[in-house]
Amino acid sequence: MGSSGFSSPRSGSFPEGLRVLVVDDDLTCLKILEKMLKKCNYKVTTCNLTREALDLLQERKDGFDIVICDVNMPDMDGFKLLEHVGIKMDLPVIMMSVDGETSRVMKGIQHGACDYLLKPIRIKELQNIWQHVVRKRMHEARDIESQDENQMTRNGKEPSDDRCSFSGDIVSGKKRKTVENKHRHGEHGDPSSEKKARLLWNVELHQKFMKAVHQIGLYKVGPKKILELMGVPSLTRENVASHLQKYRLYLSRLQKENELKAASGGLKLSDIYSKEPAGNVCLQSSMSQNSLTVQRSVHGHDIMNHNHDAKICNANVKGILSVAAEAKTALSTDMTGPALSSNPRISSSHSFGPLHSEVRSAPKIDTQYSWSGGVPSFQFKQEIRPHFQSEQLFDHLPLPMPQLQADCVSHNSTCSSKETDKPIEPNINLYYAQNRSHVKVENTAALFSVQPEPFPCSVWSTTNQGLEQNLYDNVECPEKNLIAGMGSSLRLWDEECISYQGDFSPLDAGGLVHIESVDCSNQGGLIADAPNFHNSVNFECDYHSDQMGYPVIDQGLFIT
Amino acid sequence: MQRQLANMKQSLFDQGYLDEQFIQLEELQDDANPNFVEEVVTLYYRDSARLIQNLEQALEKNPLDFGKLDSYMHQFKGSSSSIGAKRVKIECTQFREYCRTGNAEGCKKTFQQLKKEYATLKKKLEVYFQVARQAGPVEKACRPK
Repeated sequence: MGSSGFSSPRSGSFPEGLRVLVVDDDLTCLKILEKMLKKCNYKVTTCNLTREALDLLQERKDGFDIVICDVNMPDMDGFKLLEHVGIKMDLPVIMMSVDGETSRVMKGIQHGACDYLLKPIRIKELQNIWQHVVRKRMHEARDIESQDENQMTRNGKEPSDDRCSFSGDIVSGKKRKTVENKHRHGEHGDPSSEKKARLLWNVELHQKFMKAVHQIGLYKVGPKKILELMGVPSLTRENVASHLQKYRLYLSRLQKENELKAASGGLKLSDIYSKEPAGNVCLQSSMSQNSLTVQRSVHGHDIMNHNHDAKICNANVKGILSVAAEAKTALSTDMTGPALSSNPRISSSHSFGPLHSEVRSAPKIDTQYSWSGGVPSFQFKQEIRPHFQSEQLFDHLPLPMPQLQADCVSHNSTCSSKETDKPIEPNINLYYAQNRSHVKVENTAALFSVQPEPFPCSVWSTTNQGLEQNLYDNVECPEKNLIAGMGSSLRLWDEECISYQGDFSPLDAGGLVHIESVDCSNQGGLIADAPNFHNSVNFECDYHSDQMGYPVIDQGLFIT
Repeated sequence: MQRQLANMKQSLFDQGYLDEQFIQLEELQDDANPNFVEEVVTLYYRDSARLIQNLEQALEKNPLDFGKLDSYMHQFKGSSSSIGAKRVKIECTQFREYCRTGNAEGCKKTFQQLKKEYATLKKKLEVYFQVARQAGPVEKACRPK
């Protein structure tokens, strides 16, 4: 498999001829799957044992595009195979099982599965597996590009509407955009600090990270300590910082999801802020109005996926939406991992990919993603249940996150237009790494037109780009690294948000109004709690905080 | 013949012996594999006979090893659901539930029930396939034999 495009010769158009390796000890299932895959015009190889499968994969290094494996194998745990293949050979792996328990699915995702299918498998589910292959390649391409070109058009955010259209040159077509995002992500206001090589947070690294975090304790944790504990030489503090950031966001997102579940609509910022933010609350709150927050969580949630970068952010938004929708199917937020009632399929077919996967119908998700719902204010109710999954991914760390409820419900008509990318549909791929750098960047300006003069960093006043810049400019807090991380993530989301923002603006006189309204409710809540990064940031209600970029952001939202 | 076949199938569905998955299998059947469904079912019965035996043996032990039982049943459930054996699957789920709660009596009773369903389905499907073979592929149905 070449890094760009599909090098393997294929007769007919993609995805025909996709080379699939199926591993299952159940002969009946194997036979059925083989037949189904053949019907999809894929090239199938079947295996009864994991060992055999691994041998085959070793022999034919580039001989397969995707692997489908059963979780319960007699000779080796399916998850182990998953790790081997996913990490060492970097092939997308789909897990299958009769058992759709949330915890199992979570485990699958944690170990890097692209998808988790429930048996009995229907042919429809197999028809879409090619997305995982493409997605993975896009990621790879992006990684490679980002490594090569640090200074790619950072600000040239082009809407990547075509991202989802896999027609023609899929991989290369998206490279540019993803690279942009990546750069944005890596740009901590300090281009020179661009990581030498894009760091892939794979399962092993992440597990080390988790272990370190656990050891130290989430609240006391700092990138330096984590780095020390992890003991990975090639890892830099920035890497860890940004990863930590994402993780926190993810956690808060999960919390939010939990909250959201209970809540019904309306922006409950106060709720959100009621809790001690584990870190990105502030941001989240500010973002709550935007799906950004959602993104964040998704973002964090994405950690398990190999790329934390901007792509994820972008994707997040979408992912979130989809996630929400998918949430039903996805794991229910319960941390206890209740069995999913309906088919827990992580990451279903289209739209977002990752994590996601694919999981699926937990009853609870209230899909607030009624993007179509015409709610005037920005009620972002983002039920991001799927994030919950991520949560598990993160080793059940306590989620002190306040519940940020982004009620995206309101995105109504305006949003709905934007929905094009939004995966409200029930297929969320947890793996939605592909960001959809959304489109309407320009709109954000409108949205964020309110500019908080009082803030040192009028984050919102500018366009996305400006926002990002501001963030960085203002980062002065001691946990700068964190902030930086956050900043980048913010940026990331900004992109995404902004794109959404675009939609929102029409909502109401530029959207600001809404923001304000939201703002009101937030005022108290928002800042109330903030010490998110180890209290360096104070989100005072009035935000005259010069301290962190976050407050600014929040304020920006609220300030008219 | 075709109608008889259709009726038989309908009754199997109505009585809950088979579910949607069976239809999925039928859809996979084509000229290249005209007897695909029958082949799969045959394979299922052959393969699962082994599992049934394992389960029998495990159930005779004392005390019962619920973990192992659950694991066998997990596999069995997987196969059964793949062919759409609805009733069998239901019994499997019940069995696993008993395993989870450590209910030995429940397990044994359910297992007996399961074997019954399993055998009944097998017989019914045998008849079904016989008729199917006689009826021939749908396209040729109208051709005089």
